[in-house]
Amino acid sequence: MTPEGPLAPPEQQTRIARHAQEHRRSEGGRSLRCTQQAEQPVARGGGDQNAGDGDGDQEDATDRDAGAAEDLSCPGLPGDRLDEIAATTPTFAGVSFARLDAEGSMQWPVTQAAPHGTPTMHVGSFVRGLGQLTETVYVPTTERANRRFPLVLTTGRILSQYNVGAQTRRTPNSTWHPEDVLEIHPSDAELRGIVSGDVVELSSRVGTTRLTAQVSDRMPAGVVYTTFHHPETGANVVTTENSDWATNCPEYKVTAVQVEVVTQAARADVEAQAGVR
Amino acid sequence: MSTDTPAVVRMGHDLVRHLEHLPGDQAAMEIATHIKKFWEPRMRHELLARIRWGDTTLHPLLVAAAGDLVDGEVDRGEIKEPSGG
Repeated sequence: MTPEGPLAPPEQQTRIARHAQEHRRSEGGRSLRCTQQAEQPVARGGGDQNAGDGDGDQEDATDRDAGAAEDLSCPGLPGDRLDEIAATTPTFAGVSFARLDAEGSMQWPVTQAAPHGTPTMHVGSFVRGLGQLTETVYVPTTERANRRFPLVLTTGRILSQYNVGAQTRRTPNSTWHPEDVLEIHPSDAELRGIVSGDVVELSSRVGTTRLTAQVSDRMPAGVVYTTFHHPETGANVVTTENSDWATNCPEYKVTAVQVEVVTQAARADVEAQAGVR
Repeated sequence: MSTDTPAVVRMGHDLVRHLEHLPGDQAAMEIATHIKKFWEPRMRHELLARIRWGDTTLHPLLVAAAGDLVDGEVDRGEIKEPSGG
């Protein structure tokens, strides 16, 4: 939450307006600035979920007490953490809380050569010159399907959610995509006794998670697919640690997996829906 | 490669595979440059520690490249070539 509208005192509103103006006329993705703390951190124990519900049974109260007793704070002040970032990240070398308070807003790189930040990254030419093309060898994946893990999982995104959903999952966009599901080809589903709506266990050599199945002609046989917009999906629990050499981008498209039914959906409902179609 | 292979070994050997075709000392230099720019200090520390321990699984070119690395050093050269954001 940022201080906006009537919540912010007048001097902050001026500052916010100035930031917004700067943000619009510059490369906004590199902008750094302080915002006021929205609220105190909440300790583990579900206090946020139960706040204000009024029932407060013993189990919930015990969980809350245990959570409150746990110290989740980072050692040192937030400014120390920012100093640590500045010490280890060359492009943030000149960033600190004091500098941000003094400058209002800066855009990285903030360095000795550019102590007030870099409003425009590329002036006259690109900072590293023209594009550099590099020949690389083709490297097939080391991941292998076998009898234990006969399917290939590929993960991806859908339009209405952004990456892990931090910016979209709590918005009305979730009306379109309230849950990540596992799409599976009808033949693969039939072999495993799976129908749409079943809760299935998705296992790889690395880990296991559970998803709701959706039988889909969009999938080729042998391939299953899910998105990763909701944290409870745990897609990263299943995917491997393989990555590419240059950017360390994880190999999220190729993971050998198996799928098994955990909880069957109400078959009568499913058959009724099939009858309607 | 097994999923049990330590990440720094796997990633170091990925660098070797992609850059070993470069002539002369350039391969080792490019590998060292990549590690300086993009590996966080703890990863560099682990690689150097493995070399000190005599890890025989490491590719000789990776070991040669690591000769240019300094434990704990931060590469300020990235300032001129930012890595996105």
